Amino acid sequence: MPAAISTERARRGRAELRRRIAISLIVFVLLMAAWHLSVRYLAVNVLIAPAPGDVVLALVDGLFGRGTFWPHLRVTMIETLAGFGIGAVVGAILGVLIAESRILRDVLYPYIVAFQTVPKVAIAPLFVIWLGFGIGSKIAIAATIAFFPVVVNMIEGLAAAEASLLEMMSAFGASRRDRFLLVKLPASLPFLFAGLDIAIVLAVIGAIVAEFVGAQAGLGYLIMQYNFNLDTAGIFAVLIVLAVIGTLLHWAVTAIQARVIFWKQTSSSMVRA
Amino acid sequence: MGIEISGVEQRFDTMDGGTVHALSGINLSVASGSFVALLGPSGCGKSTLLKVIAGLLAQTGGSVLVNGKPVAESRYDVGMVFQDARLLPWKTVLENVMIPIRVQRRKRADYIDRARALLDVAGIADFASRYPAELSGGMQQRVAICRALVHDPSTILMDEPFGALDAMTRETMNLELLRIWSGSQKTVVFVTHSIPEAVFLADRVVVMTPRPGKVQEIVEVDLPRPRDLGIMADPGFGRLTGHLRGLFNARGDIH
Repeated sequence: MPAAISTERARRGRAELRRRIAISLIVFVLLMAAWHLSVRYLAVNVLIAPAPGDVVLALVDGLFGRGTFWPHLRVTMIETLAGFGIGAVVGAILGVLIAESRILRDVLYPYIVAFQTVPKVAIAPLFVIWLGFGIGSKIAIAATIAFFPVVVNMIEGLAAAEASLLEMMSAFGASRRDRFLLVKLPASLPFLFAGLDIAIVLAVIGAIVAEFVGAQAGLGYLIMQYNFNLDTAGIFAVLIVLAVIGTLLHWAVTAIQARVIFWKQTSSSMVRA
Repeated sequence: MGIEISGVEQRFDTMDGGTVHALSGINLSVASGSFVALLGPSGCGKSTLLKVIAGLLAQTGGSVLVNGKPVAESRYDVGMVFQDARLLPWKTVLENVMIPIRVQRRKRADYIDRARALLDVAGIADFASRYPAELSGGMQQRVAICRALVHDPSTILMDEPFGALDAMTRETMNLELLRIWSGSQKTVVFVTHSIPEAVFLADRVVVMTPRPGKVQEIVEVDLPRPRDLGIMADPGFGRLTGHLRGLFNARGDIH
């Protein structure tokens, strides 16, 4: 009987999802139509807003025609992923150190908070001076921006471990190391992944902003190029590519999270004693 | 050897600068292999006393010896069961049972068969590779009991272990606990606020009273073993529960 209820619920959930997707699509089509018609008949300058058709043409050309986007896409992806990786690893390690050491918390945490209040975009030019116009400065900016949500969530997550579980471990004589590895670290993972999810999107922003400041390649560099040429359709096409990248990266983090934090999913096969 | 508690005091500082006197002059000796129930209303310090015996709380005065040693040294010889199961959600049932083996650096191979045998006795052998969230509350608590027994400790401390279970499951668990304990030679200290549960399980019932928590009376339970649920209809059972209820009624503690 519980199985019947859950399939019924799943069926209703899928119907609800289909309905929402349909509404989203209708809204999208209406918006596109309104956009296209206003550009066409209200004499909007194509330099301000290109017609949707031109954007699609630019997108197809950039991806499949001349393929201009691919080398830049590759550079931006390398910058984003490397920056995210460095920011996440450093953030997670610092989070552990700060959460577990009173002295480090007192010494380091004020600096981290103070550093966070500095707009990273504003220090991007400095990174370009220090590390040059290549991908090094872009990775540094992406890592700097991605770092903070990871460190904060790691600290929060380690503090969120249930006191009752830690007390149980102590009752059986567990060492501090065992309490950390067997209880605190697993308990912190949902928080860590929440931080990683924010960090991956911020890493994309970091890479793009750094490319604006000074670069030889990348999707941010491409946007600047189109900007100089007043090719707004090209800019819109790159923005669509960026949105797709951001969404895919977010999905990837969510998919890994679901595999790692398997115990958070409610089981459909609950057993009764 | 058993447990020797002499002159234990416990005071807590409160937020407003006052002091709560949780335990006052507790003297109690629990004979090796015997089953003792700590009985009293909420706030009488029975759980606090159990935490002191477990070494989870440092007493502010007096001493506690488990098998002649201070608690810090005897910890590996103690198994504890809490009111909630306190299982690690990211570990399977079997790995949860093996937690004491792992943290006490014992050899896994020496205990894995014992862990499986305990799960078998508890009737949950089929769930060894499941995760806690897949089990009901009663089954989770059985896992917690297996975990307290896996390293074969001489002493078991139980803090209202069946308090969160429904009445039917609770009676079944009481019976199973007696079955597992009988002939095991283990010393058990069992905290409860249920008068029938205390009388049904224990050799001696230690009656505690609150503000400050102290031992009011120790009642010997002279009912024969092995016991089954039928013993609740025994006149001796009624006499003992009646006497205990009278102690609380006189103080106005019972509801």
